[in-house]
Amino acid sequence: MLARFWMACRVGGIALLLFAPITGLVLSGYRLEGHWQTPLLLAAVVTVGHFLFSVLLHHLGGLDRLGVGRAAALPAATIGLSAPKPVWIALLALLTLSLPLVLGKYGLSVAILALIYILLGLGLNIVVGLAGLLDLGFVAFYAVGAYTYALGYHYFHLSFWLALPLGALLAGLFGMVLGFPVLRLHGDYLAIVTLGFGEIIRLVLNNWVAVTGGPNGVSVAFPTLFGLEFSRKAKQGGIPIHEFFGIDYSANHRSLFLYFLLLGVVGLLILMVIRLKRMPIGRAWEALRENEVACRSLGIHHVTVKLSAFGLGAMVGGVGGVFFAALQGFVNPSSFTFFESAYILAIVVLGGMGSTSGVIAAALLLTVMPELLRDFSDYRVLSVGMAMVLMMVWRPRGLRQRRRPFFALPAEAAERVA
Amino acid sequence: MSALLTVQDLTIRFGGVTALQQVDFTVQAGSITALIGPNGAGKTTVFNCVTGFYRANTGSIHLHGGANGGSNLMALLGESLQWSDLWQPKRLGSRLYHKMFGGPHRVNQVGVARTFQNIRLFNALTVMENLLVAQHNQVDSGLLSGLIQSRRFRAQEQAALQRASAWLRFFDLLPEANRLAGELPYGHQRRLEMARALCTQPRLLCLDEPAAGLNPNETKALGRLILTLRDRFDMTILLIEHDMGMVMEISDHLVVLDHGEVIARGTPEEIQRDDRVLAAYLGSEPA
Repeated sequence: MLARFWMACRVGGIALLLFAPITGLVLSGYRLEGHWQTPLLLAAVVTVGHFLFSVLLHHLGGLDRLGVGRAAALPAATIGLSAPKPVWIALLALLTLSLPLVLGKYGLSVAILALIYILLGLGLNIVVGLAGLLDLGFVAFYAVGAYTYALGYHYFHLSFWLALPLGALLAGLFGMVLGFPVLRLHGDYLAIVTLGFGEIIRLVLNNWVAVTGGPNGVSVAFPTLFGLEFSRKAKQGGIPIHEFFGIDYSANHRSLFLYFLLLGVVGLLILMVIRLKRMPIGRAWEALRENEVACRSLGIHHVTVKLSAFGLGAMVGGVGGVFFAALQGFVNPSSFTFFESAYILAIVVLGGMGSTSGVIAAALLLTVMPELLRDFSDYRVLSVGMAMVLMMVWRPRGLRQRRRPFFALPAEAAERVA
Repeated sequence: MSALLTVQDLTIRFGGVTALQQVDFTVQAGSITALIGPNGAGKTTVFNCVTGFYRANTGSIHLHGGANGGSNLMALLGESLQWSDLWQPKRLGSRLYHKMFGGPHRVNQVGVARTFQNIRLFNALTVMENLLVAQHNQVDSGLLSGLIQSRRFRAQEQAALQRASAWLRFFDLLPEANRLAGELPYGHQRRLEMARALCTQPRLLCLDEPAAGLNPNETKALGRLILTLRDRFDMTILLIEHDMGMVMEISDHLVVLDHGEVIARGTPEEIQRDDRVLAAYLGSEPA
């Protein structure tokens, strides 16, 4: 108990160090004012919270129950790791579903952006975290998705619902196209080629004015739900949703719609990624990252494995792009700069390569934090950068390390080898 | 006994250096064949040719038997296209196919597994995962069936787990199943690499210096394990080894290489009496 207390104090101390410059120093005019009670209060909350949490976790037996000795006594071999308890999933679902009630219009748009970044982070995590292919041009697939919707709508009146699979497919195709020439490349060389690829896509979008509209961009219609529109007046030949349900018009409806839709997509993706990691293909990605020569000696074709990683990662990026276009209602090439790629990569590295929960946490951190820090807009990018540096010094492997699946073994393994 | 592997006229050049010159040997099914020779004799080069990592300039490597009645291991790597193929669309098709999808992995798929002189494990993966990766071609690796966790998928995953557990038990690694491969002690890593190669269900197991870095007791235990593999599991084993004590004790047949050429073949007793072998190892007096 005492150890837990000291640990909590230590965490509180770290919180104090972090919060003191951020919340304790307030710029008023040209003078700095010290508001020391705020960081102290925040640090106290962190200390008490950490202590309570660790004690509760211990008494509920959340962590200690996953010991090796216990699992070894199971009767049959089961593939399994400590799946998170249904209670936690239900709590998380409740939290995310009820969040829009608390958030205003601004908060909701931040939440949507955070969800898009979670999507992108998880997509890049497949390529960088699992397959170990350093990709600095991920934003290209994001752009392909966004422009599939934008140009598709502009030229063919493509609906959002059709653009979603089409954008994913097209981005996946681009991923494979990128994958082919870089099959033999590793590490730094691969990073440079992908960097170039990202820039090529952006430059084509920027300079092919006749088709893409160049820097002027393309505007996109907001998605409809079964023909119901989210605008005040019907623009696309449907019925506005507030008229259909006989309620007052609110600009929030469209954000709510996007939020819940994205929530569903992200949920599905998380499930997919968790399963992918325990599937032959996911294991092959990680094996390829660890040792390509050994992979080949075990009968694994590195070409298909690499291409599938590029393709699947790019597909997720494409879906993110379609959502981005729908959210903004307008796309132009300036949204798809290298900075964006670097930011998504930072999410993956900060979260911990390969760790799903870590990437989600990092995506939330890196999208919500800059918004919270808007009051210090001058120091915003600086403080995000500082946080990254500190993170990497303290936890060089990211917020959360990828947990390996745990295999409960049979008490007596089969005597004979099949 | 019948031959499982026939190597004929194998020659490979790296630039101006002829690493192997007309190497000929056969490996009998169910035997332990050892490749020995001084450093730089070309043993590992032979291994890399047999397991598909190098492509020889001339010669042939045949693996006999199996599901498709024998395979030409060199063809699996993909051969270069030739003008005459234009008149033979069937051969052109086959060459194009192997060019696209050929490679060492195909050699493994027809039944040749190997270990490496410098251990190549998937260090960040657990021991069990290492063995599951090795069974990639034996489980349902389809994307969809895994995502929906179909009955077939789960059954095959369980079977893979059982096979892996059985090999872990054989190599006495079962208690380590959930540890990271990279944090195992050296001797365990060597055994894990063998277990991993065996998980691909090979017909020919190639071991590249399995006893390197092991102490005398571990080497003895390894020798017994290799013998058990032959006797109980009918495994055919081709090995490179410098530990002469172990080689002479367990091998049925020896092939001695020096400067890229086979200088002697035979049983351990014959090799021990062979003058050329003694000269290669110890040097000969000038005539």
